[in-house]
Amino acid sequence: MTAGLTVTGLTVGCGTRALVDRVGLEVAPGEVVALLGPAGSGKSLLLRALAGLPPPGVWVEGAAALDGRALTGGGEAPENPGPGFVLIPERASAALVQHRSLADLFAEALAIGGHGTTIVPVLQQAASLLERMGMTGASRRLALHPSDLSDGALWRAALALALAAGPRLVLADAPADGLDPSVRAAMLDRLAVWARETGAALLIAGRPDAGLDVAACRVLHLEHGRLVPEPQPRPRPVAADAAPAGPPVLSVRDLAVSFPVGPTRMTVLEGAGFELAEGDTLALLGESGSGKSIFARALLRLVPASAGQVTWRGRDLLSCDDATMRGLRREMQMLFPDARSAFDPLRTIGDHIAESLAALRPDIPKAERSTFVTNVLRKVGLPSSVADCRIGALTAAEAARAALARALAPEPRLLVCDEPLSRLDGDDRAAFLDRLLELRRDEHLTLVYATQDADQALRVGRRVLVMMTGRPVELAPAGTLPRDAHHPYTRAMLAAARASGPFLDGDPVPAVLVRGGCGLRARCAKARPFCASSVPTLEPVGPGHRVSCHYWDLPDGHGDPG
Amino acid sequence: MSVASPDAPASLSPVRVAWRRFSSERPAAVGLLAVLGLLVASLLLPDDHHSPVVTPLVTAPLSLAAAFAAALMGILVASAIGVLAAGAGGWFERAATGLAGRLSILPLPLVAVAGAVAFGRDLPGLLIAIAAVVALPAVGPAHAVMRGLMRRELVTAAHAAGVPPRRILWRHLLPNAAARLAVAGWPALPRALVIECFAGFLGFGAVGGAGTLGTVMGNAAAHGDPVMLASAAAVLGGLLLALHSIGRGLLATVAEEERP
Ligand code: SF4
Repeated sequence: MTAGLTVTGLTVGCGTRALVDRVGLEVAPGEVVALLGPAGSGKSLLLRALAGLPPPGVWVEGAAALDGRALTGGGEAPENPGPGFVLIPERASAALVQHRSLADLFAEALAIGGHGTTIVPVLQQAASLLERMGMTGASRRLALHPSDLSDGALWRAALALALAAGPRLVLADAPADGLDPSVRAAMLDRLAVWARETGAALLIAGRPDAGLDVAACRVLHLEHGRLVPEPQPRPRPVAADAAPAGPPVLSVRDLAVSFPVGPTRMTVLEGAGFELAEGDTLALLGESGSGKSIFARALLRLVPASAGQVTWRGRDLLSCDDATMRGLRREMQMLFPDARSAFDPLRTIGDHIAESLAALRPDIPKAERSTFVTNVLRKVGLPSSVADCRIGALTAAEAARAALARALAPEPRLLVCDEPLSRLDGDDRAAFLDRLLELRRDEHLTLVYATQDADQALRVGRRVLVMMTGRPVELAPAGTLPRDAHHPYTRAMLAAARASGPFLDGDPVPAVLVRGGCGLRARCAKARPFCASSVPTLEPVGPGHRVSCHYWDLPDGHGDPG
Repeated sequence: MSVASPDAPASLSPVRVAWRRFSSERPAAVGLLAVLGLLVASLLLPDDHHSPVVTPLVTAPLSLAAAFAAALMGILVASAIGVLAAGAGGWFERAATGLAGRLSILPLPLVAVAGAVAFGRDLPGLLIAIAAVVALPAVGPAHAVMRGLMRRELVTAAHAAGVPPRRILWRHLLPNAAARLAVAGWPALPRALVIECFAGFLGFGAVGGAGTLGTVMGNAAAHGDPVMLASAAAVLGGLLLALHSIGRGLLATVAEEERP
C-alpha cells in the first residue's frame, strides 16, 4: 500500500474534450506540493475531480488513491469519500456556512474528526486551530459568524476548519487568494508546517505568480490540462536605465490626504514625498491599505490633498486652478488597477482615445484623430479594429493595453500606474509589463508605479518607496533593497516575494485605525513599548537610503512588546 | 493577441445586449407579451359597456396609460432631484433624500387623493397628484444610482484623461444612468396604477363617459355587480403581475452590466 496521494492517468473531460489530460502525481505524507498553472489550465477541475466533486456534465477517468484507498476510478466518484481528505474551495466564504457561528462550524467538523461533542474541549480545540492559523484573540471570535470576519480572518477560519477533522489529505484551491502577499505567505507557511507536523499530504493549486511555492517542497506545472516541465523564464527588458541626470521634474513634499468623517477628518496619507528626474522611475510598494493608491492619485490631483506640495516642472499642481490642471494632464497620465472599469461600457475604445485627444491635444485636427488612435493602438500591440470595440468585448489583457493606449495618446511625460497588472495573470501579466517597460524606455517617460508585489517593484523602479499605513517607511535604490532592507515591513514583503521567511504575522492595519506610534507594532518582532508612543520618521541610513523605524539597527527577534 | 470574437455578446450594441438579457428572463418576456396582448385586444374588442369580460379589458389600457404618464412624470422629477442631490452633495443632498424618504412612508394613495382634491378631480389633476407621490419613494434609488456611478473608476479615468466635468456628465454619467434610473424608477409604474385605480374607485379621474379600471370597479361596487367587480380586479391583478415581471427583466439587464 502506498501512503499519501497517488494519482495515475487522471483525465477529466467534457463531451469529447479532455480538460485535464492523463495527469499522474504523488504527494507523500507530510509533503507539500504546489500545482501551478494559469487560469483555465485545469487546476481547479483536477482538485474537484480528486475530491469526487466534478462539475455537472464532466466525466473522470484514471485512478486516484489516498493511503491505498481509491478516491476516484472508473469514471464514477466514490459514493462516500469519507473524512480522509478535505477540499478547500477557491473562496474562503464558500468554505463556511454564513448563518452559523464559528463555534457551531468547528463543533460539527471536530465531531466528524472523532473529537467528541463536549462543548469546552471542542471550543478549546477550535481556538487552538485558529491560533495555529494565526488568528489573534481566537477564543473571543468563536461566537462570530463568517460575515463578521475580515478577509484575512475568513481565510484563517476556513483553513483551520478544514484541518479540524484531521484529514490525511488537504486539497487547497488558490488558498488565501486575494490577501496581501506577506499575509498570504505567512498563512501558507503555517498550513505547510501543520501538514509536515501531522503527516498530512497537502496539494495546493494556484496561479504561477500567487506565491504558493513559499510553502511547497515540490512544484508541478499544469498547462492546458497537462503536467509540463518548469517553463523557462522569458528574457525581460531592462526596466530602469542608469540614474538620469538633471534636476527633478516631479517633486513631492509632505503630501497628506484626509477625508471628512462627521466632525473630524480621517487621515489616509501623511508625510509622503520624493523627487524624480526626467525619465526616472519610482516604485511605490505596499500592501492594501498602505496608502500607495491614494498617493498615486493625489499626485495627479484625482483625490484632493489636504496638505503638502506636488511640483511638476516647477508648477505647483495643488494650487493651480482646474482649467490649468486639465491642460497639464496632457503631460501626466494614469493607469488604473481595473482597466475595464476605467472605460465607459457604452462607448468604443476609439471614442475614449479620441475624446482624450480632443481634450488634451487641440493641436491635432479632428480629421487626423482616427490616425492617431490607430497608431497608438498599434504601439501598445493592439489591432486597429479594437477602436470599434466596446470595453466589454475585450479580454482583460486587451483591456489593459487599451487603457495604456488611452494614457499614451496625448504623449505624456509622466505616467503614474496604480497596480496595472492586478487583473492580469500568467503570461498576460508578463507580456503587459514587458511592453510597458519597453514603451517607457523608448519614450523616456518618467514613471511612478504602485504595486504590492516586491518583485515587480524591484524590476520597475530605479528606486523603491515602501508605504505602510499611509506613511513612507523606507526609500532605497532598487539595487540596494534586496540585500540591505532595514525596515521589518520591507523585509517581510521581500520575503513573501522570494518565498522565504521571516514573515509578518497578523493582518495589515488600515491607516485610519492606527492611533499614534508605529502602525506595524502589532505585527513586528522588534517592537518595543516606545514604538506605541512615537511615530518614527524617515532617517538617512545610507546613500539614497532612508528608513522610518526606531530600531532598524536592532537584530531580528530582539523585540519587547511590553 | 487576438481580439475577442465579434460574435461575443459583449461586442453587440448595448441595447441589443440589454434586450438579450431581458428576454432571457422568461417571466419578463411573458409579462411584456401580456401587456402588449392587452393593448391589442382593447383595440380589437367592441366597446361593450356591460360585458364583464370586455369592459375591464377595454378600460385597462386607459388606466395603464394614465399610470404610465404619472409614473413617467414622477420618475423624471425623482431622477432630477436624485441627480441634483448627488451632484450638489452636502446639506442639499441630506435634506432632499431625507425629506423624500420620510414623506414616502405616508399612505401614498390617500395623499394622492388629497392631492387630487387640491389639483382638481379630473384626470390631469389626478395624474399630477399621483406623479408627486410616486416620485417620493423613487428619489432614494435615483440618488443611489447617481452616487454609485459618480464613484466609478470611469469618472476618475475621464478626469485623468482631461475630459471636462460637463462633458463627463453628459457623455458618460447620464447615458449610463438612464437605464439604471429607468430600472430604479420602474416600481413607480405599478404603484401609480394602484393609486390611479384606488382614486378611480372613489370617483376621481374619469374622463367623460370613458372609465378606468378603478371607475369600473367603483361603479360595479355601487351597482352591486360582483362579477364585473371581480373581473376588473382580476385584470388589475394580472396587469400588476405583468408589470412586476417586466421590472424583474429590467433589473436583470442592469444587474448583469454591473458584473465585473
Ligand atoms: S521596531 Fe518599532 S518602529 Fe520599527 S517597525 Fe517595529 S514597531 Fe515599528
